[in-house]
Amino acid sequence: MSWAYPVWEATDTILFSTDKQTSSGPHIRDNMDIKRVMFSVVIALIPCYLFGAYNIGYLNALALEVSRSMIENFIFGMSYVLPI
Amino acid sequence: MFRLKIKKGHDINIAGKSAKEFLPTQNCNSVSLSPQSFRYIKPKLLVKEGDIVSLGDPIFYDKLNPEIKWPAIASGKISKIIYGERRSIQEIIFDIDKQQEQSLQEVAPKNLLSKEDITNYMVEKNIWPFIKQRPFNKVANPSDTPKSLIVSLANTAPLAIDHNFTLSEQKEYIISALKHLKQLTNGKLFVVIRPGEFEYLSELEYLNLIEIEGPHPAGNVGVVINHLEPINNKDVIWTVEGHHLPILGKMFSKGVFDPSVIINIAGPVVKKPGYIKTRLGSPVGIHCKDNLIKKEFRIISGNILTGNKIDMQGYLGFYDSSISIIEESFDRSFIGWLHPGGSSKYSVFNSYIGSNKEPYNFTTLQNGSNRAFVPVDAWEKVFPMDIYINSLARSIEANDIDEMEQLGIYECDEEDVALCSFVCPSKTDVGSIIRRGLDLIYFDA
Repeated sequence: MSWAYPVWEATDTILFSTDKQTSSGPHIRDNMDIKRVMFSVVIALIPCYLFGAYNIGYLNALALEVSRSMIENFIFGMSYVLPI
Repeated sequence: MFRLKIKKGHDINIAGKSAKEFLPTQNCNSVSLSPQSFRYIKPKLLVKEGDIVSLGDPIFYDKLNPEIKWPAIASGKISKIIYGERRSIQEIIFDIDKQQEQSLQEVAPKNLLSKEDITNYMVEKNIWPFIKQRPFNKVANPSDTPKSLIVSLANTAPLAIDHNFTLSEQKEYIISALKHLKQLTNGKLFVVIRPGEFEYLSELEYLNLIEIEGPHPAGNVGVVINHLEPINNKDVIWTVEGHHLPILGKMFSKGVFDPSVIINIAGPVVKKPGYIKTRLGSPVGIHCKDNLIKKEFRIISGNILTGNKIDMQGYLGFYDSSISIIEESFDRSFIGWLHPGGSSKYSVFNSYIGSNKEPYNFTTLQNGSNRAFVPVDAWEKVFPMDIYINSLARSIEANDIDEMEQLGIYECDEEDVALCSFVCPSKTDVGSIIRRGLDLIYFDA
């Protein structure tokens, strides 16, 4: 069952951070880990998602030559982005 | 004088820095010399358990280079020789006989003028192992001609000793050591100092003083090599530890082997961090006893980035000048990856709220699980050498020796990439990768 270890480890460390110890130099480590890096990536991309959603609605309105408000464009775009 | 300003790097703000005062001297009854401190040697013993030896007597030699012998670091009886796997020698423990040491006479050497004279004298007196070489960071070969010699008196590692404080009363011996070491090379003798320290060295014309400014690892020999004396596979540069200069100086000027050194004890769990007057290979237990505030701790011989883990019955390493002690913690914080920050988190990255201005109580927690390389420029942020460290690590993992040589592996050592391991979010041990690469090249050659 060693193939399942990454699955178990990912679930275990979502709730409680690992208690793994350093074994040799350096004996201390930064508090940053890949989990937090990836979470930072998600946070950093949120403005892109939001603008991208608005952009879909805006370009759709432009192509169909209809007039929509900003919020309507945004809602339209989110209906395509959210399922992804 | 040359000024070298390093921008990349990081000074880890760890709690427990040594105060500039001496702790009460503890009497050591035994010391230890471990062949494990020396790389790429095959030690062959010249003594056995129960033998009586004097300071400086040859204890073992390197089978690969029989002229290099290691000295007895105490006068007295060899009480125990500890063997490890496959009869490898782990420790040679000496019971100190202080009366025997005090009875040793000074015999000042004469005519140490040329490289051959000094080399022969050092080999004859068994003090050659104080000289190391780069690449490979091993004991130098006396028959080599080094491109230059570098001595760093600016130890920038976290919790490391301040040479300006510990060597302040050894001016005469430092000058003697440097004067004789200069003869060993046809190139330059570089001495690395911090601004405003060791001002008397600027009067010595045979030195090339380098004033370094910047965060760790600015004081490392490897950084100086990369910036000022780049080497390839044919070049060799010799180095000497700063705290060994008085030992060599006394040997050159008075002919006496005095194994006294000044080290420091520091760390977040040390009640009273400070400096200690002790000797080579001293036991750490006598210095740590009654000076710790936690029950779970890790004792490290050397600094916290490059040192070796030892226990309370262990001894200081031959090249080490610090005893660092940190807490062993097994805390598992709830959803630690979402923690906002504050004083309970320390990071070089800007993803935690709060700064690293307060000294932090580091523990032995790895703070994350091992992952594959994820190049987020973390290593490059703290690596001041002009080397593509990520590509170098990948070429080592691929066992591509040509690529390693082209990327500059000869200028690297574990101590230069220790900060890369510290900041790596994937918790990669970059130092062990570099060591593996150097081992591959050494044994392949």
